[in-house]
Amino acid sequence: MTTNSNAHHVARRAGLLLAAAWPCWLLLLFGCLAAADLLQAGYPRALVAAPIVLFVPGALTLGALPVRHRIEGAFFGCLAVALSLCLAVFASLALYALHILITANSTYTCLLVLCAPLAAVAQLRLLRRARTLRDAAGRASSGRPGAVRRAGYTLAALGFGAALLGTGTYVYQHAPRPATVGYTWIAWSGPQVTAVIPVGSSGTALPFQISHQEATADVFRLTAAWAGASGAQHSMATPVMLRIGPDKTMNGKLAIPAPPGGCTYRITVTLTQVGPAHPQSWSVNADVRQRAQAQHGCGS
Amino acid sequence: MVVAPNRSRSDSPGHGIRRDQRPRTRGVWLMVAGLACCEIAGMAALAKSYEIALTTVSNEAEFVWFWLGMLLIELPIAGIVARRGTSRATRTALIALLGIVTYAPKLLRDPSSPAYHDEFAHWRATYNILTSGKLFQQVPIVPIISRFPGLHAATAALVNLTGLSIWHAATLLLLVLHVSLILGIAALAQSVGLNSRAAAVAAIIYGFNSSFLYFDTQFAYESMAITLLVWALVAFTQAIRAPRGRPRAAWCCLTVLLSAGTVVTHHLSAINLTIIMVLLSAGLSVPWLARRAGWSRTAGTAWLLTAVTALVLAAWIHFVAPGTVSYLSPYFGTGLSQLLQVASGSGSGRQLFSQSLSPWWEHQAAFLVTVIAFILAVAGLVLTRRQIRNNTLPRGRRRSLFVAFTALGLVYFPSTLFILSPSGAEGARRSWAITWIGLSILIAPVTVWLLELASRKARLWSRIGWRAGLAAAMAISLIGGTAAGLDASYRFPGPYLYGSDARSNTPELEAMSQWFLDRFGSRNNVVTDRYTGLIIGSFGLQYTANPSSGFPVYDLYTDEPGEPLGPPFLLAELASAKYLYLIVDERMADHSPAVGVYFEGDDNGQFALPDGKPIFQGRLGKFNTTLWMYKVFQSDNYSVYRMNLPAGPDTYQRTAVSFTGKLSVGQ
Repeated sequence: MTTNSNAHHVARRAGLLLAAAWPCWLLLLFGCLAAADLLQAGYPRALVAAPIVLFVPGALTLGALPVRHRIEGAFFGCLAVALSLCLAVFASLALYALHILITANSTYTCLLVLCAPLAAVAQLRLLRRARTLRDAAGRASSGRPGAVRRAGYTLAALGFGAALLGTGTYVYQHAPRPATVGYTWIAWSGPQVTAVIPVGSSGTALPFQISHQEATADVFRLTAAWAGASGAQHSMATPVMLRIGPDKTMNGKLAIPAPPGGCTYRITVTLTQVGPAHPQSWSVNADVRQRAQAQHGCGS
Repeated sequence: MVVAPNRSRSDSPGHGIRRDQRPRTRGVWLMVAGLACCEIAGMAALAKSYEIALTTVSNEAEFVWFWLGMLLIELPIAGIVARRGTSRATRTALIALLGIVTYAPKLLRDPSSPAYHDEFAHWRATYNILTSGKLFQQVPIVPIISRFPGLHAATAALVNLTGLSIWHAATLLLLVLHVSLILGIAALAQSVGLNSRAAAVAAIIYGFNSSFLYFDTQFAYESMAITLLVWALVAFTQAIRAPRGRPRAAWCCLTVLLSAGTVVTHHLSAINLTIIMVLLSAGLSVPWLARRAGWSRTAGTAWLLTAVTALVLAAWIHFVAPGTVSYLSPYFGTGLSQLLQVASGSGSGRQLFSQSLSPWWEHQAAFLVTVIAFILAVAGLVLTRRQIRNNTLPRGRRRSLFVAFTALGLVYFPSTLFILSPSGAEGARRSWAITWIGLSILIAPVTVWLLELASRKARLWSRIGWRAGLAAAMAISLIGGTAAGLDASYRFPGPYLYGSDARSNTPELEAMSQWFLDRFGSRNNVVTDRYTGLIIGSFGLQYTANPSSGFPVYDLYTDEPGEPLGPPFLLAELASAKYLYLIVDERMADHSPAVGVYFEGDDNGQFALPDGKPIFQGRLGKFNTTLWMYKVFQSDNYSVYRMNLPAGPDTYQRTAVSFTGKLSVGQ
């Protein structure tokens, strides 16, 4: 009996302390946000930090202004969220205006600097009309019988809704999905092709990469050709047949000697699917010219 | 609830203003269990609908399951909220629940990444802040958004302080904003003088507007701004209704804070907020509406707040976002002139739902929702007139605010005409999120009055009939309101659909974009079409060209083979602005885009030949033989070209010579 009474007394005192100094507690909570960094980034940290970031600055703003007693539970929360977001935006604008980079630390510090005077004003407002802690607590909760119960309804609804949304999303995301459509690509992989490639007397190698992101293996024919001003294609290498497995990437290269004369040649490497009635093909191209003859031009 | 100053005074039943009664405890748990079952079943039906949608371009079954789910989710909540015996706290809780569960359609649409056009741009804007540490960084896709960094700064703050990814932080933020929006409507309705029952019904009615389920839940600045706008209006009306002195000053501070937040978040919402404040201030200045002790001082407060908001907006546009006027003005001007052309018979209007994938009954519901809203609005006007005559809505701030919101709501009806104008349709749709604030406040008391009328019917079947009729009207409004908004390709997931913003992202496009980023780094200037640009300009971290008549990059695509590419000034501009890459989606040669345009900017859909085929057919292969272009990548559908401008002289080999090499391939 005595234990129960003591526990009740302690709980009541704690409740009084909480109600009488809620701006200070909220500021302390915001201050502890730095400790949330100790948690692993992702959902655990978000679960702790997000409610503080989204609620505390706005709640302190409402506490600092003589409007709090005119707003009830869920609406107080929504208004606090709207104000918190505004303060976060203004904090970013302030940082930008002061030429301070917007980072986790600077954002946190700026919001803390904003929250501290708001908490001080809110606490002073709360205490100004109350001489004792009990009185302050009484004033903080006066005229709000059943406020906790009413807030409880909203919290329960929010909890149920969030659980439903979370479960629905999880189930939907983990349901069997139609297989994604695969694809194949070919691309130059050596130095970037930005202009005509000058080729020295020892020739050069033009490396490329082929990626086959399909569920099945396929057979391809790889060819190389050059074209000049007429556009006619001239084969320039023995075709290579290759079989590429599912989700495989292969590297290849086209080794070429120094191109004849001082003219430019457009080289095209083509990958063609073998088998289907309408085979698909992929290609890349580049221009090459003999380095030594470049200054002589393509007169002949 | 936001407590109205005259909270203890009971008002006429016609306005639904009556003391809330304590809920009867009998059967409460049964009701809770039934509601929970309905919500769970609704969510399951929603998921089923999206699962069907994933496998087909469009299928009526997906719509049936979707609306079955939505009705299971919304109707029971609406039913309990609208009951006379439901307590104020329960109503608030249920409206909060409604806010959460109505976020499900957008969340399930694509839970793990952006899907809509603007979402990619806003993702990039947030990424820019997080990586550069600065606001106002250049953003491709929708360049104007960089001048309104509210959403991006708030998301970046959440990312910085929680460690969440951009998309997860955005999802959390949007969920909180969505819940705050619907509760804000209830708070606003109460601030205007409706009781908790009518206010909660107003919140539910607001949920029928075309933007509520999808458009205002996307990761875009409108979604944050609409919530800030509503709460700014709550603070404004509270400032008007609060007693003079410190409480009024406090609410004024909150109004300025929230208005400023709206201004830095979204241009159109800030303009709308200012217009609504002008409307409310004007209402408070009309003696027939407002004359009462101290009314001129109240009107002065309203005008002062309006002036401050207008000044903040003007200053922001002048100093920070000067491009806003040129960005917005074509929509207003062209929309109006097209509408006048339709009216005079000199132009043809839009054919509504012409390319829609949704079923006929959704189209019919979209037309019916205007009819239902009109009938209820007329009834609301009659009810208001009666209350003014019998002095249950006496002169004063409440009458002024109510009439001003009524005027706002009535703007919805003329705005529906703009849906016929190709340029005005988008603006009209977006305005409904605003006008429905007023409309819901006007209609809610009528709905409550109709419910009261139904409950007074002596015969059971008559009562059931009335309520079924109201439920049917609600279902039609929900279906029609949503159908009048975004197209089915936006609303439902599904297989790839060429030219649909929301269904253009494929693993192939993402792979190409990632390859491009790995190979060339970020911040390259790229010419490409609208749909490829969404990924390249966001996750690809490149800058995509915004075509216009002064920068007609689409000419590169439309030029016929054998002709020189583009006008000379274009090539000079491409070279001087360091546009080094051109990306071609080969499908543009064979398909017409679902949303009607191939490019960002002023693509007016002029790329179709008389036979309806795309002009690009047979014209994309020319890039392979263009002397100053090198194809550096090709996948099934995408080709990446490196442009080497200015083009040098033709020095290509003119005769057949022996030039051989050797191909080799390894792992």
